[in-house]
Amino acid sequence: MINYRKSWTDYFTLFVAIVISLILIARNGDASRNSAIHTITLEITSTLATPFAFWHDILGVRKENQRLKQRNIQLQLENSRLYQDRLEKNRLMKLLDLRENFGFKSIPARVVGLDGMMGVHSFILDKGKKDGVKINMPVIATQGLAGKVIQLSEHNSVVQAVTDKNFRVAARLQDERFSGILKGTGGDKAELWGIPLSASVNVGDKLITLGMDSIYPPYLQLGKVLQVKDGPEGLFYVIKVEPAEIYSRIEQVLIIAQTDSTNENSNL
Amino acid sequence: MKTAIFSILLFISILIQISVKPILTYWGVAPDLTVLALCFAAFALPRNSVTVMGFATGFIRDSLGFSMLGVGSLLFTVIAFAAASLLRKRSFQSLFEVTLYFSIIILSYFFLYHVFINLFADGFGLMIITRVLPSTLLSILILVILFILIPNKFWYRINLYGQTRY
Repeated sequence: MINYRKSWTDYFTLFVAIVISLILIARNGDASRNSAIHTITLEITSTLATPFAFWHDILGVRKENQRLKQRNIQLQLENSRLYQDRLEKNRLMKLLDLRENFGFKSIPARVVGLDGMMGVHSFILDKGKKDGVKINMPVIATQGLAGKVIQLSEHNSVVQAVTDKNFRVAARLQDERFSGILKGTGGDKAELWGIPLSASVNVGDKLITLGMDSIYPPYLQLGKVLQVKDGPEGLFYVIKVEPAEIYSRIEQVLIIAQTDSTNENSNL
Repeated sequence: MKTAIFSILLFISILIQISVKPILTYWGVAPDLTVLALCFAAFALPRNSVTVMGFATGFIRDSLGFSMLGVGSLLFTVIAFAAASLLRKRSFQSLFEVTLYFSIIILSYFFLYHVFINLFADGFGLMIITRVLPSTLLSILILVILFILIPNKFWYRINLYGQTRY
């Protein structure tokens, strides 16, 4: 059986609660009073909520950590890409400088592969016959001579690197002006032969191309002297040279199609 | 004694609601733990007490920036009274029926909340679909998790299975 007295009390409570709520709504314009109520309740509740806030922080940290990790990966990738772009820009700027300083007519190319054969130091470029590349054209990179073209296809060419054991180039000591033959060793160094013992050669001396063969223009950097020792005949030095370019690290090159001097000759 | 326990429970639910809500919010949809606690109180306490508790809860939520002062207390008063009244009409024999009861109360709460707050706002109808229904479902999901986690003994103790209270 329903207790009607109790039921009446329930409705009365509901009525009172609704009336108070409506009064509160009606008096919402009193900003200072509302602000005081908000401040007091917020003070009490925020103090009591501290342990829950700690829980929130712990859970929030996990979420934040995941978000930051993701962001970190994104930034790392972006950073790596920007770093590569900067390196590429530097390389291209250097190549552009070389091109302007030496007055080459050249074909810019990108290294697309390395020859995998043992003992053969060569790399593949993305330019070939169709781009005007020919056999024996010298190839330079940012630091100096990189090699010469030895094989061609329509769209690609193979370059023999300075360190290849069959590579030869007429070279000159930049300061001493003595000239000899720079040979590849098949390792990561090259050797300079034909410098007489009377020459004063020091470690660190720079080597440049002589320019008297029909392939390489003069004054291209070849590398620097690493070690000097007497040759087996007792007449010449055998000089170990650190090449200007390590072939496996080259990414962009210029294929020298024509130098200004040859251009002038052909015009005569 | 029960009134004191449920008052504390309600207050804790408010604290959890304001501190943990950001974690439970997905795509702008959040459950309401306070209304769940109020429904549980309706099972264990007389309608009179539940109504007063509803008013107090609403007032606290208002003061914490819920809405303009009075709106929350009015809403929670009505919901608490409705929740308690609905229990007077019938008793429940299974958890499914209990869940259905909770669903009606929670849906009414969210609906009234959006009527009070967003009645003249643009996209009111769309808000019912994108906010009210998902919030209700999320709250019900939490309720179901509670049913799974808390042993049956507890639910018997708070009169969840249809004992007559008067």
